[in-house]
Formats: sequence, structure tokens, C-alpha cells
Amino acid sequence: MTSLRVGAVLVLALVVLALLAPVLAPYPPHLQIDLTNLRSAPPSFAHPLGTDPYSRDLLSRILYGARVSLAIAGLAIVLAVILGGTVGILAGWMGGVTDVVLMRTVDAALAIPRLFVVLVVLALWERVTVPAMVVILGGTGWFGISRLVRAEVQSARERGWVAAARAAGVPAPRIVLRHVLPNIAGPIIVAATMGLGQVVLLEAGLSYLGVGVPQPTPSWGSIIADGQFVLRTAPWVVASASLALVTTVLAFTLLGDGLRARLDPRAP
Amino acid sequence: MGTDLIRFVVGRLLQGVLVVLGVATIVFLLLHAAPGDPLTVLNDAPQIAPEALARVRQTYGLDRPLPEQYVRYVGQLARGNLGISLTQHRPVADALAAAIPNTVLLALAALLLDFGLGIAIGVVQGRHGGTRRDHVLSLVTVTLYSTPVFVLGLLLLGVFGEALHWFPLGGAIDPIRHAGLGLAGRVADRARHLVLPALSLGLVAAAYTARHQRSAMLEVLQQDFIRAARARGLGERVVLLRHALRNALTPTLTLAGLALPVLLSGSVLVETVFGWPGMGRLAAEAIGRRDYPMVTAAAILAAVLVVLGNLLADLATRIADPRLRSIR
Repeated sequence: MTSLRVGAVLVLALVVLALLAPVLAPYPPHLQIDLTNLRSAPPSFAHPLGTDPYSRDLLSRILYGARVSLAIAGLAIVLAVILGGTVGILAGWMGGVTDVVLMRTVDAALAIPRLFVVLVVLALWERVTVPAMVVILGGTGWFGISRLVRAEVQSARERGWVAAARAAGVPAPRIVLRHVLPNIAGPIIVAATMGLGQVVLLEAGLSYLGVGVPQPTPSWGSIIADGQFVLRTAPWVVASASLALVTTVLAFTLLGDGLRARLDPRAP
Repeated sequence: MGTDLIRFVVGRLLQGVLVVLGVATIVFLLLHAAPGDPLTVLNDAPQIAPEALARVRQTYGLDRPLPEQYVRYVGQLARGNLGISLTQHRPVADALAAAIPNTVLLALAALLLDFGLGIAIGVVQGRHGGTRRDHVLSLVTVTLYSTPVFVLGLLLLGVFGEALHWFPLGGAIDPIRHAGLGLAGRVADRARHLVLPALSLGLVAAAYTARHQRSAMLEVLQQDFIRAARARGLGERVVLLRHALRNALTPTLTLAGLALPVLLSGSVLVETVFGWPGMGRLAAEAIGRRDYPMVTAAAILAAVLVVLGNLLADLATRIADPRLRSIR
């Protein structure tokens, strides 16, 4: 209960901060204020979180970074739920050969560590835009969801109310959309919320490796990468972006935990 | 049990080969789904004649139809030919062979920490469910679970490496002194270099395991056989470790199969933070330089490691839970 409340408040606060970034940020996020005198400056009144090694205001970059991070994560999860839901419904409802082919493909896809899948996809892209990142992260994030949906659809298919709907002559697509989906929405929402945190982590990891959304677009991962070489002399660069990152993932995890306790009847 | 076990292992190995073939197919399709081919970047290069490009495409079979390229690719893979690295100018297999032992060492150390610490925390939390101690530990694990491995890595590096000088700042061995050390010295040198990377990777994973172990323990502790064991007057320690833990262990051991892909993904980041010469860092460096034969080979090998790890996890589960021995 408390984790639901804390998670929801944190997520809401982050979304508001991200939306208000243009109002709240004291400087444009790309602006290199004074390359000779103001590199990796400590926090001050003019720069509440200090500046990065390229003389950019950290608070502004972190606020704008929240927009990038949350937008990519949110859209990628929507895509993953759509893909995973479709595949899971097809496999669970049709059964037979369709099921075997789809699920064995998912098994193989799950055997590749996700970061490696993403790296393979990125290997031949010259420049990754935000929409491309959404497609890549969403397109590699649906395997687990499809398994979950398949299992839920399979068990729902055997229930009396589905048999009743069938006997009444309701067409299959309508049964799935109107009768099965609403009944399995809980576990899907929980998985999607947990997934949001994981996508934020993954996106940050890619930017940290320098293969995420390219500079100068502010991303928390690339702020950390910029700051790691001044870790000793200007720890606030890595610290502030890390704190933003951990808080965001924590918010989604807590929200997911809380939602699970609420929505998933089998949760302990 | 002997022949049964062999049949199980052989069966799972065959399945594993199929999974790896599937992985190779997915990787092939992903590469060819990207716009253009590896030579597209050179299309506009004024110093290269279009005929020369066409010749290179012909040499590497890039002009052939997709199914033919696929058959060729799988055939080469089956013979262990992973191609030539575009940046290291040596066979990808050689570069990876040098890196894999380091990654396996790091992953094993992290796995040990993952399950050792994760299960221990989960058991303590399950034993004291709902108490203050449980809540504090839950807060710690949920925060650690939400921490990116590279952030934890940089934190540990900053505190224990740069500020306190307790541990080296990176690498797998001391490049100057290592060769001159005796056996014990070399082992100690490796261990010192291993501590921080393994902690970064293992602590985050342990937090995840602890969360699962906690709920498994809480569930098992409510069952009738626990009440029966307590009613028989068995000590709390015996009830907890012999009766509850053993039953709550099965779902956690199944997690080991899932833990490996996560650890290998994490190793890309941790190896980059610590300059650890493993396949994760190799892949991360390769991606920056568009060395796609290296990246794809690393992905396929990572999948092979995952398949092998899953097999070991299943074996461990069968040993821990006799009820599963009849299942193939």
C-alpha cells in the first residue's frame, strides 16, 4: 500500500518535472556557458547542481534528460505491450503450430542477453534518433510480456464465461478484446510498470556506452559518461544524474510492487 | 538415475543447439533488417569507385539473395568461423576466445554473490516477515535493484578505488607486476581486481534474488508441513533451513536461468566501467566502431553461455528437488 502511494507520487512528480522542464530549467540544455572559466563548476546559486565538463548547466540537462528518458521509456513500453500482447494472444488463443512457432522464437530471443540484442540492432544504424530508440527498445522488450499474456489467455480460454460467449456466437476477436483482455489486464499492467524501470535503465546504459540518443541531446546515461572522467574532482556530475536515474527506476519499481499487491490475485 | 540423467542432459543439449540456431537466425534477420549493408557508408566516398564496391560485395556474397546468404552464414557458424573483426584485423573467434574466460570469471563471481547474499537476505526477511528488520532490508533491496550496475560501479570505484585506494582502478591484472608474481601472488592480484566489478554486478542481482526469495519463504512458511514440523517440536533453525528453505529454493534456482542473461548484459556496462578485458567490453568497443562481425559473434556467444547456464540451473534444480527428477 505504501509502496503504491510513494511510487505513484514519485512518478507523478517526475512527469510534472519533465513536462515543466522548459519553464524550470535555468539555461538551454545544450548551451556551453563559459568554456574557459566554468567547466565542472561546483553547485552554486547560478547553477544549483553545478556544471558539466563542457560548461553546460547540470540542472537544465537533468530536467531535459527526464523528458528524453521518460518519453522513450513510456513509448517503448506501449510498443512492447502491443507486440507482446498480440503475439501472446495469437499463441494462447490459436494454440497448435502457431503457438509452437511463436513461443520457440520467443525462447530463442530470450536466450540472448537483451543488451546484446540491442547492440546487434544498433550495429548498423548510423545515427539513432529518439523514435528509432523507441522502436529498438520496444521491439526487444516484448518477449517476456508475450509469455505472460499467452499463459493468461490460455487459462482464460478454458473458463466458463468464454465458453458461454462462444456458445452465444460471439466472434473470436470480440471475445478476446471484450471478455479475455479486461480479465488479464492486471498482470499486464504490473509487468508494463516494472518494464518501464528496466527500459529507463537500458536507455541510460546505452547512452553511457555512447550508443544511445546522440549528444548533445541530454540523457542521464551520457551525463554520467561525461562526468566519469572528473569523478574525483567533480563528483556532482555523476552524482546528480545517478540520483535522478535511481529515483526514477525506484519510482516505477515501487509503483509496480504496489500495483501487483492490488491487481494480481496470486501475489504473495 | 544415471541413464535418466544422461538422457536429460543430451536432450537439453540438442534443444540448446536449436535455440542457438534460432538466435543466429534472429541475429541474421536483425542485421539485414537494418537499412543498407556494411558497405553502404562507403557509397558516397569519392575515393572508391562504384565498381570496386561491387567487387567487394561480390567477394563477400553481399549481392546474393538473402536465403543463400543465410545458408552460407549458418554453415560458417557451424564450422566455428565467426568472421574477421573489422577493427582488430584478426579472426573474431581469436579475440573472443581471449576475452571469454575473463567474462566467465566475472559472471561466476557475481552469480555466487547473487545467490549467496540474495538467498541469505531473503531467508532473514522471510523469517522476520513484517518486522522492522524486514522493512529496512526491503528498502535496501528495492533501492539496489533500481540502481544501474554502471552507477554502482562508478560509486564503488570512486569510494574504494579513487578515494580510499583499497582496490585497483581497473583491468583484470596489474599490468606491470603480475608476470613477476608467484602463483599465490597472481591469484591475489586477480582477486583484488575482481572485487569491485563483481560487487557492482553481484549486489544488484542479489537484490533481485532476495526479493524473490523473500516472497517464496513467506509463502512456504504458511504451509501445513511447516506447522507440522513446529508441532513436532523441531527447533526453529531446523524448520527454517531444512524444511522451509529447501522448498523455497526451487523457484529461486529457476531464476538462475534468468539471472545469466541479466548478468551478461550487465557485464557489458561493468566491464566498460572497470576496463575489464571481457567480451562485454569487446562488444561495447566494437559497437562504437561499427565492427558488426564482432558484435554479432558476441551476441551469439552470449546466447550459448545462457543456454549452458540454463542447463546447469536445471541440473541443480533436479538435484535440489527430487520431485523433478522424473520430469524430462
